[in-house]
Amino acid sequence: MFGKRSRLRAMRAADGEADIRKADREEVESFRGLSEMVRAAESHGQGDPPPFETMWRGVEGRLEDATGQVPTNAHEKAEKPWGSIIFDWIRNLPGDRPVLALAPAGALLLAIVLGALWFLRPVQPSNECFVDSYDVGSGTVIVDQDYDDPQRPTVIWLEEG
Amino acid sequence: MRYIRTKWSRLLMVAPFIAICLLAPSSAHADPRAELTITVIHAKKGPPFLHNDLKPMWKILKKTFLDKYGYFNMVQRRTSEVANLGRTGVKMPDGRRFTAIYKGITPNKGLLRIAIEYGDFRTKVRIHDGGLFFQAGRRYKGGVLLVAVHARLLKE
Repeated sequence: MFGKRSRLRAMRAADGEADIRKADREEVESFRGLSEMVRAAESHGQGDPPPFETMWRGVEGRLEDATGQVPTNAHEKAEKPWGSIIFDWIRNLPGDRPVLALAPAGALLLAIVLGALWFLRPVQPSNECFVDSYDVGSGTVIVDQDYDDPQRPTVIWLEEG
Repeated sequence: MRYIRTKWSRLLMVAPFIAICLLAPSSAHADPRAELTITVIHAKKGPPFLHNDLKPMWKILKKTFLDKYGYFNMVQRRTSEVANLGRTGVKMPDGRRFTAIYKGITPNKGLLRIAIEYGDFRTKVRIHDGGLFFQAGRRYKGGVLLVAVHARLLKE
């Protein structure tokens, strides 16, 4: 089964824009024949379009021979399991511009990792302390606490008289 | 039939009051048990020293007392599980008794109510679950006694 990228590579190779060694020869030949037919039709001013349907039928037939799979149509696509459809969609998502798909995916992955680290960080209990009352027979009581730093424990000093 | 309907309607009317009466005592006793840890520390100026058992507390001691003391020796530590109004305590090196009393949790924020009795000194505080506070100032062997009180709720 040929993907979009290999098909595009074959089209470029047929037009001489890409390296023919990296493309499938049958595909290249098919596209080359198609290009020649189009050019011939344009140069002779023929009104009838080239027989695209015949050409595509031939390409699909060769694809079927190569992979043993019948090309999918809309009806078969509907019967495919959703998992397979989503997997195919994700697999084809990068296409020719992987950065467009991989950059958001990477950012999402980074956000998930940072979020997990944030939630899994060791949480220190607050040492915030509310002194409701104190009483001493002799001496002085000084409550030393820092409202801006809840981690710093309160110290209830007893200055002996 | 009319009698039965009246009886049932009366029962339905008093049902909420019965439910409140049944639930009220249970909510009064709903405060979870707590674990209180009292750590008595002898602190003084002098050569730096930290008792091995105080190493987990080093960050707190440094943040709270390092500008005053450099020597921290653990005198004793006691951990007790207490129910509501339960008390625990230790005998201090100066002969007096230090007692911590757990007085349940506050209804809104779930803070632990702790009362302290140490000689003629009394105080009542509220702290968070897992929180810590110090009582300090009693003179002892050229330094002072620091008493750390740590409290946490026990999961049922």
